[in-house]
Amino acid sequence: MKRSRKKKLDLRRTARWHAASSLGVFFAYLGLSFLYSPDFLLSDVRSRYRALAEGMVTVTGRVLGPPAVPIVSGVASCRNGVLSVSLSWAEDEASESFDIVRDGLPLVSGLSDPTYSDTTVSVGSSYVYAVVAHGPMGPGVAVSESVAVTLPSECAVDMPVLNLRLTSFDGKNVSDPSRTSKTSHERPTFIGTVNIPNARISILVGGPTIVSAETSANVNGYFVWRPPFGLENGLHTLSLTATDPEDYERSVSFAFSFRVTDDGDTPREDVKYAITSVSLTDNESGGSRLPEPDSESNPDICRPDVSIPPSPIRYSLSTETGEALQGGDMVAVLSIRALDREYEGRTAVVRYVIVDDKGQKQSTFLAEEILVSGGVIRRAVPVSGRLPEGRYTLRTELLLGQHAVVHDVPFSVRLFPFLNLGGGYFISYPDALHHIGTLAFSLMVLLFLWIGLFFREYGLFLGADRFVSARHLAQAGFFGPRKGVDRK
Amino acid sequence: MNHESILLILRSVLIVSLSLSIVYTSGIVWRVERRLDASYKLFLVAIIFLFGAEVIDLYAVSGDRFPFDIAAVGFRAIFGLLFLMGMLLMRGIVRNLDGERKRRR
Repeated sequence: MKRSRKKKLDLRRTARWHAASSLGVFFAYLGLSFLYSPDFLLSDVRSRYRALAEGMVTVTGRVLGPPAVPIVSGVASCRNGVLSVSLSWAEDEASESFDIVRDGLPLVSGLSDPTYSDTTVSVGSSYVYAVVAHGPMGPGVAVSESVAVTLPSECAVDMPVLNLRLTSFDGKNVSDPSRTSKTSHERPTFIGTVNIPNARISILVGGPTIVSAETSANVNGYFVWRPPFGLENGLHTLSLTATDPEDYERSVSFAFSFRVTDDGDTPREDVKYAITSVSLTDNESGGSRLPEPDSESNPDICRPDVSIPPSPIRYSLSTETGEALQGGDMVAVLSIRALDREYEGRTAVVRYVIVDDKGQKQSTFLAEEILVSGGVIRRAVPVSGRLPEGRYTLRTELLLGQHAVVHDVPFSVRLFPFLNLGGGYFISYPDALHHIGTLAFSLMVLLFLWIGLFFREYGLFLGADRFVSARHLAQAGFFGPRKGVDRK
Repeated sequence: MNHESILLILRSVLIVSLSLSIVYTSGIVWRVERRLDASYKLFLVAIIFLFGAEVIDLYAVSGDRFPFDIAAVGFRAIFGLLFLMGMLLMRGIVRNLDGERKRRR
């Protein structure tokens, strides 16, 4: 009797263990599959169903012969400074892979396509190539005849002619840049293009108001700029210089003159800074001069020969991460390279402006910063939660006496996250919405499991015989004597 | 496996463990009485506060996050205090049953 009872107990224990482990494996599989990919479970079930449904499998086979001897042709070429030897041969069904031997040494192996472009070649050198074809059946190998290729003695890079244009001034097309345009707006918008992606654009406005600034074009070479302050009435000259960010020696300039007039209709902003200037690059040490007027070719253009006073500060602008979250902060880093003694330790107003890719101002933030030569200013600039995801520019306008120093740095705004996983990792709302079905299902399963366990625990408590106190535990032998201790 | 997945799995393990701890600690609270009951109640409330702190940390908040950070750290502090109190109560029970206190008197 006792034996059979023990057997039954063992069987029950085994059955329970089996059920628990099966459930564990099932939920682990479910959880992992949802985490790996929401479609994983569905595709797995579908593939299993198909494997069951398609019971009949047809296998076709074909015995191939030895590979054919490749007939190789080699052509040397130079395209925009890149030398290469293009090798090609006929496709062969009986050849599975190809190896190429150059000057008796292996060059590449395991090629599946009957073409190869060798770019590890030098100007004016000669190379001898041979192709070895391998067949899939047994030791089938076929070696081609050797082909000698000589590379050209010159290979120059064809750089495109740089082209910088001002396409629009104050909302009007610029058809003839040699003519002086007029505007009644004190802060006209300049739009242009250059055939250098992400070019750095140095801007210099000369005349009654002098503004010098720097911005960058987008990948298409498009740029928009607007003076940070209102320009005074009078004739101004705009000088643009676009520089290739990958090659600082490649640059192109453009000049344009315009007149700001007061028509009385447009209210003028307070012009607090009559003269504004900027240090354009780190190498610029003193004042810069505007380009000389081309009065001979165009008598209308009368470009003032104005000497810009040296900038009292030189600094660079960067961002800590290059991106910010909607509703978060963008940390701007201003590294002061040089500062006039006059301003050492003094505070200055810095205007932080967020500009979208169309040049529209999105938000402005003012802060007073303490200036120290060689110091670094870190400022968290708030990014509006309503700002759409995309690329923006952070502009700093540092006002020192009569000088305004303007710098731009691009950054991107990321969508506000839904879940904060820690360590700077997030799950965004679109990601969460994309997997909303999976998330909802997983949460439902977990919630039901939790409620089930809770009620199970309560049911077990209802079936308990008594309440347990500390004394019960002692009586049950939970507090036994310690070995080697003899207490009376 | 990317970093997001690793963090998500670890966070999920923590939250699931804490939610299961709530269930099983409740089971013990229902079954025990007197000082043992009190100590387990303290443990239970401590776990609930830690669970709350984890949930608050997980949810991303727009704008000023300071109140949420304060709440999360506060919940963790309460967890620490309650856990300590429960542990001290349990320590008292053990010392009492051992007869350690009577001997000192």
